Amino acid sequence: MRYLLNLLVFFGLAAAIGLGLTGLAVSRNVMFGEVKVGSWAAYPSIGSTQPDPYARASIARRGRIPLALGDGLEFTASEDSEGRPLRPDCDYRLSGSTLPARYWTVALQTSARPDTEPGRQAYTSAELLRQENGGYVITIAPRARPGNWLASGHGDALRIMLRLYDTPLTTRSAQSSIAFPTIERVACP
Amino acid sequence: MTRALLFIAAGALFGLITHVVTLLAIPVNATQDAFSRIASIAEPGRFIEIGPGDADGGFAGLDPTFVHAACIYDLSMGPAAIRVPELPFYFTVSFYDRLARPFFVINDRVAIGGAVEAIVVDPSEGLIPTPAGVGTRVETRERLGFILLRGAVANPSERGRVRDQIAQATCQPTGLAGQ
Repeated sequence: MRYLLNLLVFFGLAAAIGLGLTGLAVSRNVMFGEVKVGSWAAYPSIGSTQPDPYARASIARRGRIPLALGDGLEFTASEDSEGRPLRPDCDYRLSGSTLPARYWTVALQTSARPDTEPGRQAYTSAELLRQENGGYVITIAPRARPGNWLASGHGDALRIMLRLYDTPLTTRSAQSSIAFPTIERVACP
Repeated sequence: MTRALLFIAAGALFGLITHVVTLLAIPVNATQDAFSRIASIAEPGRFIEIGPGDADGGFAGLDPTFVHAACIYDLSMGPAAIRVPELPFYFTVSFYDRLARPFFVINDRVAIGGAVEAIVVDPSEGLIPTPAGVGTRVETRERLGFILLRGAVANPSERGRVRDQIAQATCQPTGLAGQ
């Protein structure tokens, strides 16, 4: 009887740990090799020919098509420049200078459906209104703002995606030599 | 008591092994991965638009400022030839294997005569010459995979023009055999 109980503990623990860890890793989108540049994070492994096993599982489970490293680099920000989590109900000022890429885009990822929200959720480098020095300012806010405005909507989560295409940068050089856009919180209700 | 602790330790260890095995098994057994989803809507000979985002059932993680279209290749039917007419803005053609691992990318800079033409070849099939006029030869031992065409939409008003051009892109087996 005691032996049976021990066997039960053995299999129960093995299943709980094994399947639990796998489920957690996939649902939380766990990946290794994070590269941080200010507020921006990238996972270069997912666009390579040899992604780590966690990235492979996450890509397969989500049906995701990763951006190839030869195509460009993809950065995500989920916090402002002071390290506070981004909130869709706040106003943010995303500003920077020209990035070393032939073409780049800034897009919001919100939990609200894009087609139910007014306003734009992405800009390309070709259409941004620029300052005299070539710099740019994008206001991210739930309500319309003058200039470059991205609508953060009324969801409960907000992330900003920055994608650089045909760039000479690697994630390592991006870390050391490039001034990435800053994300400054302007106002919160 | 000692025996119970032994079972607990062995259970934890076996759990870690189970974790590694299940993690490695996910990509191979996934039924809703990118390849399976593209294969379910693919049409022979052409690229199928797979949408900018996941809001309308599209693919997660794609840039919403691009138009994306994909086609499946199966090198067991011979080399695959693709032709993409030059799009109005920046565009790329990326080659992925069955597990969505990118192994080759070309962009609009390689367009010759108003189009990008490429051939995907399995080198183990023998000597297959690159047809005249085809500027890029892609070699892979992965027999199954997909090709993703990303067309930038620099201004939202241009989306229709980019989509029309992408609709003319072709992707089909050549029927060429190795020598």
